[in-house]
Amino acid sequence: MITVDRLTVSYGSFTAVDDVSFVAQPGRVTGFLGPNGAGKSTTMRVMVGLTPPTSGQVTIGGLRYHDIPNPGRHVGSLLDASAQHAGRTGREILTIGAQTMGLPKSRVDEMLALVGLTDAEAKRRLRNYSLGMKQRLGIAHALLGDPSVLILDEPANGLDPAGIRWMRGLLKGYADRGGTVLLSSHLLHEVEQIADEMILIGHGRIVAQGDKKSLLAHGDGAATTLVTSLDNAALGAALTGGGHAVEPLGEGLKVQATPEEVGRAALAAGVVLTDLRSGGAGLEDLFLELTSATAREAVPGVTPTPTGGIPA
Amino acid sequence: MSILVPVFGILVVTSEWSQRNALTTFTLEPHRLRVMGAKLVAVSALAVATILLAFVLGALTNLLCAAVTGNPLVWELDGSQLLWTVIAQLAFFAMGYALACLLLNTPGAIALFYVVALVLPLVVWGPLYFIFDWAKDVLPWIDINTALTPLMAGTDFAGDAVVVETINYLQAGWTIVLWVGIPVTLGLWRISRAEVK
Repeated sequence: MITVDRLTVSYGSFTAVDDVSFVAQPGRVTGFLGPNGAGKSTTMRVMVGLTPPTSGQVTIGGLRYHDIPNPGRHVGSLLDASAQHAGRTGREILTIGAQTMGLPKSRVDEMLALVGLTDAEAKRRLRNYSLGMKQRLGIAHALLGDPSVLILDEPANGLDPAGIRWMRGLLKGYADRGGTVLLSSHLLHEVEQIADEMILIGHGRIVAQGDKKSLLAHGDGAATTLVTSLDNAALGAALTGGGHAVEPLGEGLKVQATPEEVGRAALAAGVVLTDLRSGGAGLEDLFLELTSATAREAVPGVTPTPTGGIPA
Repeated sequence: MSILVPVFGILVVTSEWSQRNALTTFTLEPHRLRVMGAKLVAVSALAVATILLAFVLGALTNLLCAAVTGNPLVWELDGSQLLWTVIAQLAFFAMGYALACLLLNTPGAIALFYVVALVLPLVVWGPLYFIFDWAKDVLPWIDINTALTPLMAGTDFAGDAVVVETINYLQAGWTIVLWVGIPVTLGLWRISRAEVK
């Protein structure tokens, strides 16, 4: 369990992390979302003791990182896959890690196999690695000590789609076995697929947190539904009659009502539905909306488009 | 050997910061001074090994020289001078290590090391020593080599025999504090507080 308690990190007058508190629970994947420069990496660096906090603290399993004996055995972290000696081979990097943690050498081979780095690739020097290979090596390094807590900063960075799917399965399985997983991303669809809990951060402040459902419920209130039926005109009339605003959208209708209300109206009117889904601001819109005030670019003219997340 | 090899003592510290694997090292061992202590032990072991190597080479050369030239074989070694040679070698390695801790930057630390260990003695201290009388009194308090020479060789910087007195030990101790103790303290203080990125 990772507990962040009123964490603040300031550099002079600039506050990178501003009074952030949250808990990452065991058995769950916690997604840490925010635009570039929102304070995600700084928060994660404080967790593993690389950056001193200005105030507040982070504990992992009740201990400050500094006080955890042989921390690599309890907390696996991947903060920057490139931060390794470029002249060492992948195998050497893992071997040094294993020796530092007092692990048997066989663990290195296990991890190389787990992340799918071949023997030939493991003998190459890091400077000749692609970003995706570095990322796999970094994940292998994080898992080396068989930790119960994983802290991963942008782990999907540079992975191909198959690699992202692989990692998703890996982390999900890890959390299902009782591990605590915290991963950061600036890409929502990367996180919403696996995260049980999401923490949205912008400008160093937490702007929202909760699971997907509760985050959406916190969205801008009025639910909208996208519906297509065999008789849109009749359905539209029934809904308008029921006091809901209706407007045509593409082949169907956009209704200011919950899917349930639309479904009942269709049932009552005897109209066959061919498509019914929540068209409320998707998580992506919520994410942009919540962080736009703090994002690097203002997001001009971002109107809620019913993407509902990009399937990956 | 006290000029080239101490660069290892610098690289042991700085390479980790330029290659950025300090991030991994200090994540696996958050007690940073423990890591730095281990590095100092490694550097000192290397320094001792270079002395042993020099010692063996010196002995072989002595034998070879006697055999070739037909001169009588002379073994002459003062225990105290040997000890101080070891101390001087360790001090030079430690100075490299200390300046590296202070700067955490390879080119910077190597340049500073050579300025202190080589350029200043040759270009500045040497001429001052021979030209001005006051320099003979002042330099042993500034330059580590000038301070250690009487203890290592029984002569002063100019090669004249000297009788070693308490002040020589004080000068040796002080210059080691100046070039090792002070930079290593500041450097380790910096390392223990630095944000590792």
